[in-house]
Amino acid sequence: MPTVTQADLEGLYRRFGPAIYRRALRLLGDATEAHDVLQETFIAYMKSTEGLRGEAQPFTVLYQISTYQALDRVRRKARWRHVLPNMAEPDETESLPEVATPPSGVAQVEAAQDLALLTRGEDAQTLTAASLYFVEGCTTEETAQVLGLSRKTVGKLLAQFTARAKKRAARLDEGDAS
Amino acid sequence: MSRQVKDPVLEAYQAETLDAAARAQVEQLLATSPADQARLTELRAESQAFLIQHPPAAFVAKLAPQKAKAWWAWLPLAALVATGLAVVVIQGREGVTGGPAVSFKGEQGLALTIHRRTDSGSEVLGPDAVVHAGDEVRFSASAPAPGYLAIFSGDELTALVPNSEGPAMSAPMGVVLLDGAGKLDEAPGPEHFVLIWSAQPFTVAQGRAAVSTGSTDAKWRIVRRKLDKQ
Repeated sequence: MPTVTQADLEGLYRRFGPAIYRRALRLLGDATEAHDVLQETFIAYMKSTEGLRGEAQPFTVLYQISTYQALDRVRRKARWRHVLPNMAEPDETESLPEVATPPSGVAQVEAAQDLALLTRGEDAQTLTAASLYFVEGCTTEETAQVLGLSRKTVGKLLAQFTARAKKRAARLDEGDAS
Repeated sequence: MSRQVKDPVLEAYQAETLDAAARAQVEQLLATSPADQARLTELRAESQAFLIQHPPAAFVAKLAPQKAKAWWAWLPLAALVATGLAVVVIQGREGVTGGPAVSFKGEQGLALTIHRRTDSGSEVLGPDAVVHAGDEVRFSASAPAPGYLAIFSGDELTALVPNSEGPAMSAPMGVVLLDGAGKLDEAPGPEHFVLIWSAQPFTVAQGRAAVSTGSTDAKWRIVRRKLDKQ
């Protein structure tokens, strides 16, 4: 099985660490927590490469892990506000209209909290795609570029997530926090 | 002039992970957007400053290996018998029909046992056991048929077995001592563990979703354990 050496880790950290830290900081809004998530991300990456076949780009894997870890922390303190825009039902072609006006500032923080509650149980790739699209205002094409996926795959992934999220949102609107 | 390239895409561009078409698209936009050029320069400067403040060697030195150690090579059979697990194994062997039509009577045959390391080896934690921060635990699972399983902990359903996202663990019929061990943290409150099993393969994410939504799909079998912590 492939193993990650200390030199490998230093190289990965040098190339991607600052960007991963910025990602965590953008989602958490707290430097201390962002540093914690940065560390947790690399630890999780070390564990995942014990079985990794080398198919995914390290930056993409780190990016998804850090998004997952950061939103996990956001979820613990989140309060449901139902502010996420554009949670429309997917159409038959499984395409999504592009998010017209992405939230910013405080609205983005609240949107991230909502998303954290809606993504409980989702895998890291879906969660990252949802964060990029619904919270950070990336188009499906931009989301596909960041994740190294096709636009069609991202569209399908987000459409399926939207269907699940609407059900969760309905439960949260009813006051069911589970 | 407003920016044309969003930060996540610029980060991926800087990380050199965009495919050729996306990279060409970004470079075309950068060529005509001073605002995006300035942002890219800013990101590069931030990265350099970050690495000076938080050098790679120091960061990596803090990452302790998270590999599970084989604290004990075997669990005494007496421990399994004491919990009735050996009985379950016998029933499982007699009762398995195989194939997709595996029938269960309630949760019979599916069990999650938690073992705590002791100075002399290990002990099985019964339903009234009290645990403490720092206790080292590992799991054995018992199923009446070959299948797949995952174990989660806490309200956030952190994956313990397997300990990463991906496919659930393939498990044979009977008692399985699972690789990996964990140390209980200092967070207050009881420790919750969930074992989810299916005769069909599933991913950790699917198992987590089934547990979190309280799925009543007949393909899932779920066992929950709670340990009071002082």
